[in-house]
Amino acid sequence: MADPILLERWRCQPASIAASGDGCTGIDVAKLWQFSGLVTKVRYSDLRSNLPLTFRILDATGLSIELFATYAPRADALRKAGLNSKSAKLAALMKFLGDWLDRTKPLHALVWDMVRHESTIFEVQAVTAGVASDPAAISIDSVPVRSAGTVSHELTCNPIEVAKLVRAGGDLASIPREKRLFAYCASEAGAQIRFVELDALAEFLVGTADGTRTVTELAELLLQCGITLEPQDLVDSVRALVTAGLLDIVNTGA
Amino acid sequence: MRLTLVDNFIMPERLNPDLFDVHPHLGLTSLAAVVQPEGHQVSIYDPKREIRFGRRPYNAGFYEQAAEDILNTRPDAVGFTTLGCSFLFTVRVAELIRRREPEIPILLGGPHATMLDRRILEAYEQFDIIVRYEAEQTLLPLLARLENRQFDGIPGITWRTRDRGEIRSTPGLPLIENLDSLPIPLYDLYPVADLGLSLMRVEAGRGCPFNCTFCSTASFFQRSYRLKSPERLVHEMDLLHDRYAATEFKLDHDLFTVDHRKVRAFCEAVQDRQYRWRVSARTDCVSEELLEVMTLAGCIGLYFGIETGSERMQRISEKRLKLADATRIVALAESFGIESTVSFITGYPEEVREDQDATLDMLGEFFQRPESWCLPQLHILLPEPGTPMFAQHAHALAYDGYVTPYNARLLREDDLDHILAHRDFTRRIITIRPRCPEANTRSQSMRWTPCASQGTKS
Repeated sequence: MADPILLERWRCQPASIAASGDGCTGIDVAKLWQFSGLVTKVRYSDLRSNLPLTFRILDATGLSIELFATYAPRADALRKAGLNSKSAKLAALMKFLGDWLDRTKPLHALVWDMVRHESTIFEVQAVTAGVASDPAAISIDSVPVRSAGTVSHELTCNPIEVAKLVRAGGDLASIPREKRLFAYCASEAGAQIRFVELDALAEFLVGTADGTRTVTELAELLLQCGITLEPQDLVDSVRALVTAGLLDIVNTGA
Repeated sequence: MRLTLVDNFIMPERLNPDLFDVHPHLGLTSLAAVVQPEGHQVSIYDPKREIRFGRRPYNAGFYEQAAEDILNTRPDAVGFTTLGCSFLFTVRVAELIRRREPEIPILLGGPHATMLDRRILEAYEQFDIIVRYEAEQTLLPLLARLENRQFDGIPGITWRTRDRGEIRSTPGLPLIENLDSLPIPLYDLYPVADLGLSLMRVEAGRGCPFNCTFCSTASFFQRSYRLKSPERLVHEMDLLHDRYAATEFKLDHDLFTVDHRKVRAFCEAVQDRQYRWRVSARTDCVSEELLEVMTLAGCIGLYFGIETGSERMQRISEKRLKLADATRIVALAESFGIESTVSFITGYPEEVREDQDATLDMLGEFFQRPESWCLPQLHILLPEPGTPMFAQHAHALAYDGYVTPYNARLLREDDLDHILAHRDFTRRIITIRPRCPEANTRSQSMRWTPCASQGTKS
């Protein structure tokens, strides 16, 4: 347990066990490896409050022990480096999952969706929302910018629907899967965060509102993409996104 | 009077038969045995059985169907028992019964209701009366006065008055001193032969004299250790053997082995029967000599709550086991051919990394033992009302959404909202943890006029 790299070597090269000394022969390496998964999972229990659905889906899919056993050497390195904060653990686990999960498999993709969804909520909660711009003051000359801390993810499902299904004991395989885009941002209320599903136009605006282009210029950009939209019509969409907290308006001082 | 008692339902995640405990409820069968001979007609409704054997679908409609099933027994009164982890089901079904038949009195008992009696009545109008602590001596007089709800003089009752809806309670901590005085539980209220049970449970006694800060048993049974006499216990086992051909028993007691003299007397009384039995113990409440006697008398399984591998947490939790001895005793049990289940908890509010590491180390030691002889378990702490730990940390409780496969399902879409609104009561998924972001997130689906309708350049 104290040397997960050695354990991994034993698992991959059983012949190396004998080289470790007489006391090591007869060790049930597979069982020990599984136990290292449990130990690592338990040591990451503090993330459960941030990733409740992720942990639950990992358990339901039978992936959790294998995942944490494979992750154990990295977790051990992190621990030895003194990086024990929740955010450090979460960042390391996310990075590992990004490599380890085979996202062509529907259940792995579901885990990847949920861990990004829940970890983003955790991150965005730490962001203090600024004072929202006045939507009524938005015009075609306004310069929208993505609000501080706004994050968007392309997912294969709606996490809220997944949460309901999981709580109701439904079959994970029955979750409708399709490309969906969601954005997350802090709200002025503090504890609440905003979680918004975006359509194609909203995706475009959140992606291109960089604080340098006016609404009119964004409409021109759209036109270059083959979409005709009057700047005044785009103002309504920008207003909706400002109201949702995803965009702000740059104060040009004009 | 026709009284329908309702068993617990801890709602597991999946329809896995192993997750549905359909054993006869020892408390309810004991209450039924007290009440029925006095002319009351008692039935027990077990929701788990309905699901486990496929008689009812396990879905959002089950609350309604359970209420309907209970009302189909045409009860004059309904009595629920509840634990913290089964409270949601109890609340939902009682609510539906109250809505359909407002005049039927609804009683509630068990550890959770005992600890939260007044607050439950304040929050939930569907409950009329809470029968606190051990109810065998209080249920009969209560039923006799159910009509006028004049319960003064009956200890351990909390109720809502019929006229003004005031909540009143009588003092007292009812406790059955002599468990041999109780009638034999009415196991027959369950279709035992059809349940496919591999062993039968027998209530061996009540109460634990220790005072672990996380344990609600001590407060519910008032730390009063009692064991049925050897003659009585063996008589119950014989009866179950004769009636259901049972040869293996789980002797229900949180801590069977406190009094070695009594345990030896039981072993002497049972040793010729060829029965096999399992009990719970503390590692500091058994010795090599006692283990040998127990083995010869048919003991095949011991459940040891070790709870933490940290000496520091042993002190803080007031479990106060000597951990080196614990390891030795489990090894001894194995040498006698007794299977041990060793149980640990992590997630104590005071637990630091070194404590958790010590628990994992000790868990690992047991994990290396042969699986057939030692089953290590690791649980996440869940604070129970009525415990010293709960009293100390109640202010820090928050929803974290953590569930286990044994207790995960929410049947209705608004069940989560209910839990969040009543988080003081629905302990099933409340732990001492920071706020759960999921609980603070609401999906907003924003839709604009689709781009395509605005026209695209070709």
